[in-house]
Amino acid sequence: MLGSVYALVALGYTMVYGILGLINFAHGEVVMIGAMVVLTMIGFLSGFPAPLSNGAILLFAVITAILVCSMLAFLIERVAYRPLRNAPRLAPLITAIGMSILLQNIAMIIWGRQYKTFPDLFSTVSYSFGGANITNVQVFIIIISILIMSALLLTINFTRIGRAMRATAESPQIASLMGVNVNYIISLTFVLGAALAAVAGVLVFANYSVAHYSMGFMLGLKAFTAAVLGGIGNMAGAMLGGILLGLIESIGAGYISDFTGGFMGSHYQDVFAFLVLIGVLVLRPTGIMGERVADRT
Amino acid sequence: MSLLSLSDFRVSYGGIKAVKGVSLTVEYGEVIALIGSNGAGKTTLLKAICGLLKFEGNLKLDNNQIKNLRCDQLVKRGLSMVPEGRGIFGRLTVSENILMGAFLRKDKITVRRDISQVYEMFPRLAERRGQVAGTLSGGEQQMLAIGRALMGRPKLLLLDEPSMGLAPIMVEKIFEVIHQISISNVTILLVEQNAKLALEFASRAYVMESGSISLQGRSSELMKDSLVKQAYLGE
Repeated sequence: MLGSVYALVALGYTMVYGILGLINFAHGEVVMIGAMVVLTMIGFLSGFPAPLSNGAILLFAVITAILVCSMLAFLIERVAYRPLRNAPRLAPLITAIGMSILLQNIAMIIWGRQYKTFPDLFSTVSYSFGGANITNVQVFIIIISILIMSALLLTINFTRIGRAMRATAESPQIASLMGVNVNYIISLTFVLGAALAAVAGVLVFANYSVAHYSMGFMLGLKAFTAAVLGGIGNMAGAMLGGILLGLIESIGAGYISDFTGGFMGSHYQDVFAFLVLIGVLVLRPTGIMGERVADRT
Repeated sequence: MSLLSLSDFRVSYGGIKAVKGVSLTVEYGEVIALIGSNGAGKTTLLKAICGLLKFEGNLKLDNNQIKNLRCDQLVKRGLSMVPEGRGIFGRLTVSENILMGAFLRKDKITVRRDISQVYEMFPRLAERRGQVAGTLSGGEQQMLAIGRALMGRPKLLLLDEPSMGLAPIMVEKIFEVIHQISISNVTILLVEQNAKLALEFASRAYVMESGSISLQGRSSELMKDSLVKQAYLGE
């Protein structure tokens, strides 16, 4: 469950990295803003004179969040990254961190410092099979994530625009020689990543039922870890990395107190993501699927 | 009226002037060679013509003054380049590479016909159409780069060192194809270090030396020029 959310966010990191070689640290904040926008929209729509069904409210809220996040990412790229396109790599990286802090603070001003809770639009039902518990919300999250990821993979691999994205990832210069407007493709990549982030934000929020202006930071770091684990720049890798990381975390959190004789509890969950990051960077920096294709030129 | 005309064309990298006031014209249907030694500025000139580098001076394409256009906008106006070192997309398949060449075209039926023409021209590519292009040999990659450039149906084809790094037999094959292309009414500007080959092939030629044109004329005359003979033909 958690894994599929990581996968959605990791895709945003990996797509941008694939094309620009840039780690967009503000991506986690886009997830948070997605969640916040949904929250605001639900509050707004619930007070509507003509009563809407809960499903319609959620749908409208999510669509708004996707639009807001897409525009936000478009602006982030224009303002923060495009002017630095030809600068040394360190410069946009620092800007990315700055952007992340800026967005957190803007969110804090707009939505305040307190934890926001998610109104219960749907009643949660728990199923259990084989000793594992899963709620209807979680099942829903997994299904949505799989649908979105499949749609994205199909687009990237089998459409004209997806082909242009892959070509641009390989060489922006040569792609422009084919008539591809590289700036357009880069904007599109940011917008797509942000749309996924918005959905991820809603899903996380729906599961934990709380949102906070700082929630994007840790989530972003973990999704970044997932992208590195799968092999950054590789889309299938990002999905695999996300799901693996989610599993490692859940299993780790579940058994850590047994391992340490109760000394460490499940609140040490976050440790696992970063253990994985360190492990990958030491043992296999290219990630699981980050192998270079044979290149004879 | 010429297809391409440059005058007082200058390109610099930072403070370094790589092309210093070049004038050059290419008429419709012509094959023009641009020869010169390493570092003379030939590749820089080509890159600036197709919008990959900024230039100063005048560039006219099809009688339109071009200034500050992006590369993809120039491609839309009928320019196509086979870059130095071929520049294929190594992680895309052969057929995807060819489709990328037709990126701006909306006429699906004629695109399909052109694809089969490219495969006819290069049967080797047809055999390998599903293969990832990075695994092709150098000669096959050059074929792919040329086939891909043709998919844009260019008015002007810029070829940057098509013979580079290829076995002599492959060079012969590639030039045979370029010849076929030129008689099918595509105008060609060919940059070559192999001066002999280029002069045999083109009707007119320009000789470039440290950023400017030092000689120009009909290929047959340049071949007899004692300076050219000494410096580029090794006679």
